[in-house]
Amino acid sequence: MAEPVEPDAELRGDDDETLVRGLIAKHPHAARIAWERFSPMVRRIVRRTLGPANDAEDLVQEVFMQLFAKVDTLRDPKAMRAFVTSFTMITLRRELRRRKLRSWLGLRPDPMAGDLRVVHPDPIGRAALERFYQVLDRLDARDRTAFVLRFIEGFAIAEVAAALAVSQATAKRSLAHAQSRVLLHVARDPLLSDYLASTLHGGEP
Amino acid sequence: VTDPTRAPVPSKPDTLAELKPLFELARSQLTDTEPRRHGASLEAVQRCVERAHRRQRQRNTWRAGAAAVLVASIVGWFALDFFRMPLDMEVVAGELSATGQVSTSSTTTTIRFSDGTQLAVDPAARAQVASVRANGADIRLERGKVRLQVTKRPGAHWNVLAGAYRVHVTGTSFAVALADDGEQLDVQLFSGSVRVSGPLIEGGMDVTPAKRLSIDSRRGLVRFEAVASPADATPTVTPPIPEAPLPSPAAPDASTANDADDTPVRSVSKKRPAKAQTAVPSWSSRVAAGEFDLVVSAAEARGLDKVYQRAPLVDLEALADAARYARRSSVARDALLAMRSRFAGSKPAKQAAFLLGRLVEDESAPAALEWYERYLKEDPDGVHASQALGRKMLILHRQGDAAATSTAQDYLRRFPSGSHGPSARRILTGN
Repeated sequence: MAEPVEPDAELRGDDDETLVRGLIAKHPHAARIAWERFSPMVRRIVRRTLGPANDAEDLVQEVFMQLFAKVDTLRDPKAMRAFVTSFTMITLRRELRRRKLRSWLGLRPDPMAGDLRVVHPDPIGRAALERFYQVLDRLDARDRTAFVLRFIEGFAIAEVAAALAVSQATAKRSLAHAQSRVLLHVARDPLLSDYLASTLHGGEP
Repeated sequence: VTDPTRAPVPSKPDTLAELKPLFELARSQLTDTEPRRHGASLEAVQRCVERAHRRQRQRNTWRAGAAAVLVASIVGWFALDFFRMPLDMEVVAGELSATGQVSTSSTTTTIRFSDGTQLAVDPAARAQVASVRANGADIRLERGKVRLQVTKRPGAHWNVLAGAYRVHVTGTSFAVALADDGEQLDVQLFSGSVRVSGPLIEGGMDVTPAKRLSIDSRRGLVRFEAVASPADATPTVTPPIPEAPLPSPAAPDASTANDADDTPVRSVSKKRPAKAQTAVPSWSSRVAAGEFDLVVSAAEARGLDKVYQRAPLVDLEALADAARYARRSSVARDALLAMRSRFAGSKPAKQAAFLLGRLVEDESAPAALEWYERYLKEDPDGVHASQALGRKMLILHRQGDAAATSTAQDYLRRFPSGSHGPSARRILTGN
């Protein structure tokens, strides 16, 4: 006689399709399993897009709120991961635009706690990371998210385009623009130049 | 070769490959580990989603309720309308057949409706109460004169269908006269207002108290006349429109005293209160108010060539109408030609072909024929199709062209009750 299957055993499998059905059917364990499966990816992308001086957790929650509220609009349940990435991008771009607007209006940044886990033992490394994200702050929302997905997250061009809901040509243009601006500003920044020189000459500073 | 003992020299990166240390730094420091202080993140998200769902459900309930009320109201309204009884009629004087046809008699036939509306049909007139509804009726006038005193009430809907014209009214007292050939219409208002539409005034014209609208569709003439009192109100169709040209727009004194005669409506508008000076009405509204000369004068002041070349379509249409009604044929022709060249393919540009035919018909029947044929080709089901086909038929008949017979057959097939029907039948019977 076969052993009874636990209610969420099937959901816990690798099959995103089953999980989506569970979410739509409001299965009691589906939300937790979705959180466990996708929140690391979302958190990582959010952190790497916004940088070390920002608390990513509020945005991660926002992404999941949107996801749970609109999961029934997902046409292809197998594309759950792309669906989550897309929501993450939408939320991030909205947040970046909001911050830019606040900055233009001369408002102070939101009182978000810095990410306390950035405990790089080397103060120069920590400072370099902060300066690097100050350079990224100069990009617009789309260029910035494209740049992070491609060069830090390691997405392929097609994946970047899909995540940003643009054509591949547009994604390439965005990346080229971001790349030239980042190179320019990094070259102008003495701290970053020093950091890069020291890593080239002696590995880890 | 790099000497590791030497102090590092600042580097200016030229390629992304040189930024790799920064990318590695970001990857190593910005990881996906969930911070402990956010252990309750999922619960917070679930609470928010649950709240959002609850709000959505409430919104949906409200929307469904509102939609149900709306649908019920609409259904109720139509049901009410369907079950509402039509007005009762009482023949006070004269006779009315079962089909609503007013029998010819030596005295005026008077019919009173249950809402208080009263219809008086002249002895020589031929009229029919075509349909009666809960909120009004349609009176079909084939010739002669009727007078209608409509009781004003919400939703009232009365029509006098005089030949090809329709006089729509909601609450007023007025008289309508139609010539035997169905091409001359006279409308006189005593109180309230009516809207008249039909050939030459497809867009409709409002007739207000103390004014008389005279239309001769055969000659393409439309006149607004001021009358001093209801005593002048008796509409007549013989002669409906004076042949004399209108006074020049440059002669403002022309209308000072004799409003009771054929004074053009322009003189009435001169007496309007200061409101008209503060808000400049559009040309089309001026045409609707019968201020034809003012529109032509305004175009001339602006420069006719400039107007033809730059004015929007609606202004060109208004100018063409105003010029036709004011008998400024050359201005009307140029405005219509400008419409056709600048707005080719538009509905008004197609209609302009018919109107150009009307303008040139007296001078050159072949040219008019060409315009009518062009109109029928461009807009075979247009508002002027009946008139264009009828006029084409008459021109062909006058020219002794055998095609008149086939055109008459075509006309009767397409417009069996059209105003050119009697002429078409005469052509076919050879009388």
